[in-house]
Amino acid sequence: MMKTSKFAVAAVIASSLMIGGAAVAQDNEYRFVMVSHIGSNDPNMKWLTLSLDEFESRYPNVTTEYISTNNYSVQEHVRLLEQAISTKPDGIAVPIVSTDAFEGPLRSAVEQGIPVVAFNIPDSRPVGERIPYLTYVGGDEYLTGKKLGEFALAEAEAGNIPAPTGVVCASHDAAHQGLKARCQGMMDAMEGTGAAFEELFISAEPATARSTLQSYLQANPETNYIFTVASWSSPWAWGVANDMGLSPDVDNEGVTVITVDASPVALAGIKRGSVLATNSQGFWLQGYAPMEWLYWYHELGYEPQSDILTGPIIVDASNIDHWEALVRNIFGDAYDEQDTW
Amino acid sequence: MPSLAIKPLVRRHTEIGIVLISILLVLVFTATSEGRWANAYNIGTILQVTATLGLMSLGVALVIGTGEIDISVGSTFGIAAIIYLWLAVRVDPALAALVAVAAGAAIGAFNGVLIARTGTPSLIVTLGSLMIFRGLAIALTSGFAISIPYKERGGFSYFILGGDKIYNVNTGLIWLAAALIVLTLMLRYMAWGNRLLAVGGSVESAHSRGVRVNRTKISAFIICGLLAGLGGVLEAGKLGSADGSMGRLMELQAIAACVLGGCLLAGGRISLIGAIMGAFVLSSIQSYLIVMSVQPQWFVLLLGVIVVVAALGVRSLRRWALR
Repeated sequence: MMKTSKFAVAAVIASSLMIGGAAVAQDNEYRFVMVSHIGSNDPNMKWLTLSLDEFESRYPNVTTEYISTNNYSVQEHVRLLEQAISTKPDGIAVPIVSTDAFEGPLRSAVEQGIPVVAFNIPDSRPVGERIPYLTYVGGDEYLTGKKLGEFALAEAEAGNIPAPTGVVCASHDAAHQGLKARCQGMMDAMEGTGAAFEELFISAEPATARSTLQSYLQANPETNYIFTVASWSSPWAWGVANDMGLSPDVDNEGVTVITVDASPVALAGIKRGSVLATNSQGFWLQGYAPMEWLYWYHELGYEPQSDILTGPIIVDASNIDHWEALVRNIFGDAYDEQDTW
Repeated sequence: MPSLAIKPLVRRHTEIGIVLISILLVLVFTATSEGRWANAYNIGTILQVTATLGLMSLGVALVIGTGEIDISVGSTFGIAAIIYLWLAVRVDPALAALVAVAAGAAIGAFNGVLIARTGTPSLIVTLGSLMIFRGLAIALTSGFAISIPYKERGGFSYFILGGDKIYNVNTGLIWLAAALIVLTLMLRYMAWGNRLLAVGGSVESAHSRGVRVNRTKISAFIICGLLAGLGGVLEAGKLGSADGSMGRLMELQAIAACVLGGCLLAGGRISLIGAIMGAFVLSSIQSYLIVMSVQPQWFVLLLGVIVVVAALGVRSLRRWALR
């Protein structure tokens, strides 16, 4: 009897402690700040701000703030970051645009006990040397090229497009490490197919890009895959191939165009049958997931042991309607304005 | 009665207006930000921004004093930052800083000589310089940043050139204080100071009294370029990174700081401490909007409104004092 009553008392205490504990957990209030490189003059900002709104609606005890500038420079970004740190938030999400410029302020934040999550752009150094953030949430440039290449090969094997005989990776910035990684991924995917591969600098200026591509295609007639590492250059690539009579639409002959990003121009290209595929780097998740990890870090003590990749997700004719609806919801009227086909 | 006692003070010291505005803003920001604005870390950040913008504003104030304007200082700032970081990994950072500041002075000399010798309006010449040197900065960096890794920015030279803090305040503030003292002494106790303001007051009158107008104007532009270059070095020292956009639009902030601080755009009247207080007010307003998490689409608009209100406040105070 004594034993039973002791057990009952212990159970009551334990359950009241648990209830109390839950109440405490509910009462914890947090303020997380995203210090972004994307201002309101870029429609992509809405991927992030809408995801933060969604996070707030699911976690009412968390306030999220989005800080950015429409006059972007690393100098301005660091200033925003330092002023965000000074407000002593419970967590910061930030793209590591410049490791050298961001390391000082972010180390200072971590020393002050503010957890940091990198999003969209990681510190590309090895884990032991990099800024001590909790984790990185974002895409992977190399995988973007590799997965798109593998997708194209699968389509070729299915007989939907020609097998590759020559692949050109058309890049507008010869020194951009991220773009080079995309090309490298595509090159690695094509290894073993016997197709020639070349990385071509076409510039970001439309007339130069078109004439460069035209010269290249004339000199390298075996080229039948064009991979543009920026979506806005895909209409240029298609236009040049079309003018040269190379049948660039998505079918079992001629040239095939592949691009990147779930942008209106890339999606419109797929919709009209001019582009085989593009990718999404899961931008919405890059706003939501950092907040979630900051929350779990505080509430549960969780620390992810690796980077969290939100992409690439392949977008092609099979899922274009879904993606078009999603991206239209984000871009609104700007969607049609950005369709340059 | 107390207002009557203040009147002569405001009449004599053009910077009184901006000092009062600063005090008012500090009180308002402190009261409304729940500790987000008024904390040691943030004040340190504001003072760092004030140091680099303040140095630029001091130089612009001197040029304004001669009745001219220099809108190329943002580009000069950027070029100096790039030169400094590029050289600092090759030679001693102190020598790199000297070269970068000299480059700033050379840009100032280029502006000054062109304006003085050709009679072309300073707005046009320095607008051209703004574009030339911004273009050069972009071309030199090819769209990328020149930077020095965080762990390699050790040693006294980096420390003193804006790369570290003393009691939470960036060492750039030491350079601002030094520049303020030196320029104040030059303006008050050297004939050069009188000549500078005389040229701004009336070129003809100054000329008739034997002042070498062109030489005075060129000297103001050289010092302006030098200080913008020093600001660029200190900012680069802090960030450890500089790209083609470094210092962009800072020229407008520097001019706004001077006007807020009581400098007469027509020339002949400047206040160095006023220009620095103007820089402090601008940095404080920016910081307040950031820490209060104002959305980016409203940021520039609100900043502009607050600056206009502050300028009107300063102007009303001065009008009242002169009545």
